[in-house]
Amino acid sequence: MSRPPHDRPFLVLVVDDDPSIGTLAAACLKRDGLDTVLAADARACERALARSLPDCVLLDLHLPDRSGLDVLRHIKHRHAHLPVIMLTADVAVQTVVAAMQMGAWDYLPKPFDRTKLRATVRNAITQHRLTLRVSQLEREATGGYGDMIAAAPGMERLFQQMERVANSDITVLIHGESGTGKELVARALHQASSRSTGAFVAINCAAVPETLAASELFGHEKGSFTGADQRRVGRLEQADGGTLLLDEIAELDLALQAKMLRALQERRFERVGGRHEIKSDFRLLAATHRQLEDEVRAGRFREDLFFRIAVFELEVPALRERGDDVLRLAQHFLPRTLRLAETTEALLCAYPWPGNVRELQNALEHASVIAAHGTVRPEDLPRRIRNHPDVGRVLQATGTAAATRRHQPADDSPAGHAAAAPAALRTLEQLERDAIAASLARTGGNLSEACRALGIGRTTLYRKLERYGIRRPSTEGDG
Amino acid sequence: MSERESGGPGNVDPLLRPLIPGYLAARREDLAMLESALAEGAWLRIAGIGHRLAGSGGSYGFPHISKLGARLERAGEARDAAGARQAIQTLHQVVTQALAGG
Repeated sequence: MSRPPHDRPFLVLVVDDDPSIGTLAAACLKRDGLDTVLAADARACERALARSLPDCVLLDLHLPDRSGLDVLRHIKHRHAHLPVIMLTADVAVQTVVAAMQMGAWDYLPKPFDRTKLRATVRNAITQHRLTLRVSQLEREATGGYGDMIAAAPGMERLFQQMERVANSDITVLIHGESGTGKELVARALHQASSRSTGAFVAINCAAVPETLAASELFGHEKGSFTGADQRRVGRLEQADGGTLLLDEIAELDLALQAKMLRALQERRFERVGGRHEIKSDFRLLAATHRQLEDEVRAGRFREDLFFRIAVFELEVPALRERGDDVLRLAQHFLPRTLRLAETTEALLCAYPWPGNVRELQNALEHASVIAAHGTVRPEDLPRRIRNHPDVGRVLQATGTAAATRRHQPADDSPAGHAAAAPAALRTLEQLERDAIAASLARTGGNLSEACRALGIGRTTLYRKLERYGIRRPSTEGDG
Repeated sequence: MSERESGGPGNVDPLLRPLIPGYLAARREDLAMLESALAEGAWLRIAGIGHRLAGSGGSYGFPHISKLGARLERAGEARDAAGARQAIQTLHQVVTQALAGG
């Protein structure tokens, strides 16, 4: 059987209280290169589903703590596409019909035939893989994921991983620099999950004062501390039936980490000043811009909590690693009445965006306020961006540095810009020159790519470079 | 009892060969539990063990263990001491013979 994306062996969750069934199923499926994880009861099954991403479930109808049909109902509710094969020594027609009506993929009477077990699991996994593939293609056709706009390979990888975990209850840790859109990723996961009808509750652990954090997370009872004049429902409780995002989780102080660990293990906790245990059924997502392993080593983050939340990790790429996504996002953030000048495009591609998508959005909001004549020119962007050394090189290559300096307002405010001379109409020659310079800057001086981008032949490009006196930026190779 | 019934060493699937000793050892533990359950009149425990044996024996190449498991499950549900005792004795023979047969 061919491997799933990311070269991870397919995984089968076997839920049966008889260890001999799990052992035998594991040995049979290993022949097909499949991994197995065993759960002896319904609770162990739920824990396994929060910590792993099975491609198929083998589920016994009789479990010590709950009926297999109850567990099947839960799985189909939370993991609609996950194929479940019922194992049953009870072949009463009504039981089998009930299981199939609830969405079981198939059933195998016990004692099971080993060959049939392998064939049924293979078929179920193939179908599951096709379902995932269809949703991937549908998503690719729309050019993004949820509200995220992207086409860069790094983002495509992220979307594929998100597809794997979206329709599950697995805990996900989202890494990424500040401003990369970690909350957007979390929202998209929530929207694509069976919990989308429930609440999406996000809390930024860095933004809550330490003294209020416990009350914010767990809630408090009236009179539990000075100022607690009424009962407050905390974020964990608000997320019941939905998804909880703990953003910047590394900023949670150690005392709260211990309390959080217990709440995450049991999905039970007490409000501050409360005596009653509150149950909340939420899916946990966590996000951080820090390397949590480093925080663990430094003693600032509990190792047990780290293992609890780092079940499946997603990395959101920095904007500077996303190539042309900068321009796609820029067009998205701009009002429809505005377009980017070629030199502005080159500038946006050259700037390293340390504040990532958030910084780009702010820069374009700034620019859209002061842009004139329907075009965003370099001088409309905030000064820190124009003055960045990487940007300076692009502007010099495109010959607009002087013009930018000439038109540079005294400050970045709209009023300051209004005082500057309005941009004059440029000739076609000037526009052509800018376009050629910008394409060279964007392609790092690669002539073949520049030709493709400009839609002209190489000979024409040589002629125009000579005519306009444009020098190629130094390159390692010119393709 | 035939070798086929007891699951002797005939045409044993190579996949099963390393698993069978562990499986049979676990059945020995089942036998001990069945005997004490019968002594205590713990009928549900007898039915439960019988149910598990019925579900696993055939998959390991011991169809007779599955049949005995089903008999034990029925005996447990019917509180049939004689039936349970007879099934336990036969199971004892099957497991012993299978262990001796390697």
